[in-house]
Amino acid sequence: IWLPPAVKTSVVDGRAIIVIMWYILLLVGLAAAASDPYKERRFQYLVTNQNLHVDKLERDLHALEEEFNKLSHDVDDKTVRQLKARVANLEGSGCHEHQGQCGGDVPQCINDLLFCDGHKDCKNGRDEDPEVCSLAVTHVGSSYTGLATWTSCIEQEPHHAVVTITASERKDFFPARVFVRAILAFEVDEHSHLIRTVPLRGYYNFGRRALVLGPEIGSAPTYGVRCYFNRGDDDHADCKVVVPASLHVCAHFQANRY
Amino acid sequence: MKILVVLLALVAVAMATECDSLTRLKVKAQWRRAYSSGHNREDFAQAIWRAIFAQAPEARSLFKRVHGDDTTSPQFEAHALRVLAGFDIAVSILDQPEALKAELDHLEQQHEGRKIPDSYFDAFKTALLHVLPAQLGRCWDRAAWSACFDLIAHGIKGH
Repeated sequence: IWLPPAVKTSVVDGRAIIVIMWYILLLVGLAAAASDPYKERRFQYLVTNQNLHVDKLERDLHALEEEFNKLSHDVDDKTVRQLKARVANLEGSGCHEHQGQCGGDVPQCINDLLFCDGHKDCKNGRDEDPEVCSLAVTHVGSSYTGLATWTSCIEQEPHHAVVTITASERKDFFPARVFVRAILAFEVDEHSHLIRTVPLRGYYNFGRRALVLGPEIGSAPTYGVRCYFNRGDDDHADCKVVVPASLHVCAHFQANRY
Repeated sequence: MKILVVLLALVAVAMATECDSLTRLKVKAQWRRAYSSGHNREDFAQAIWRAIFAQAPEARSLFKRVHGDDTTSPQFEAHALRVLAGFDIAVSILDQPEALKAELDHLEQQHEGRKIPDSYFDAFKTALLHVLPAQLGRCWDRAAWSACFDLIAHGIKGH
C-alpha cells in the first residue's frame, strides 16, 4: 500500500493506519452495494407491490361508488319547495281576507295593499323581500297552461286552457299591484280546433300571490280567471275560470308556465 | 229610424259617463265593498295616502299637524280614517242631493284657506282610482268613479 508521506512519518501511530484501512474498506463496500442488481430489483419489487395495493384500493372504491350510485338520488330542491308549499297550503296562512302572510319564524299577517310598496310593514321586512316581490309572474309573454276541467257554466270535455300575459304596468306611486292585460284561450271543439279567446284585465297581488283577471272593458263579462301561485315558485299556479260577478267556479286547472 | 236614433242616444249616454243617479248607486255599492272595516280600513286608508304622497311629496307639508311625515304614526292613521269617514258620508248620500250639498259645503269650509292646489286633488283621485280596484278585485267601474269623484272634489274645492 502506498501511503502519503505525512502518514509514513507517523507510522509509529498504529491507530491511524487502522482508521485509514476501515475507511477504504467502507468505500469499497459502498461501491459494491450501489452496483448490486438484486438489491435494486428488491426495491422495485416493493414499489410495484405498493402500486398494486393502491390499484386494488381504487377498484374497491369504484365498486363502492357504483353501489352508492344504485341508491336513489337526493330529492331536488324544487320538489322539496313544492312539498313545503303544499304543506303550508294545508296549514293555512291564518290571515283574513285582504291579508297576506309575512312568513318567517313569527307569523304575521298584513294587508295585501302594503306588500312590495317600498315601505317595510312586516316586522321581519319580508313584505319587501325581492323573492316575494318577484315580477316573474307578470312578465309580458308569460303563459300559464293546464288541462281545464269544467264543472259548471258550459258543457265541455276537459281541454287545454292557456292564460297569456299581453301587457303589464306597475305604477310608481302604487307599486303594490302590477296591472296586467291577458288573454284566456281554450279549445271549444277538438275536431275543428275551434279556439275561444277571452280578453281579460286585472292585476297581480304580491301578498296573496294571486293573478286576478276579469273581463276587459267593453267586452262581454263571460269569464274571469284567478290563479294562485301557491306551489313554491313563479312557474306553477292553481287556476280557476270563474264567473266575473259571483266568482262562481266554472273550471279549474293546474297551470304550468309554458 | 226612430229605433236607430234611440240606440245612438243610448250609446252616447253610455260613452260619456256622468255622475247620474244610476251611476251614483253603483259608486255607493262599490264603495261599501271597498271601505271594509277594522284593520283593513286603516290599511286601505294607508295605501291611499302613500300613493298620494308618492305623487306629490311636497303635499306632506300641509299635514305637519297630523304627522304627515310618517303615515304610520297613530296621529296620521287617525287623520286618514277621518278623511275616509268624510268621504264615506259624501258617497253614502250621493243619492240625497240636499244632504250631499250640506256635507260638501261643510267639507269646503274645512278645506278653505288651506291653499290646496288642484293638483293635490288630482293626486288624491289618481291614488283612489288605483287603490280601489286593487281593493275590490272585480266589478268596478272606473268611469263611474271618475265622474262621481269629480263631483265631490268640485264640491270641496268650491270652484
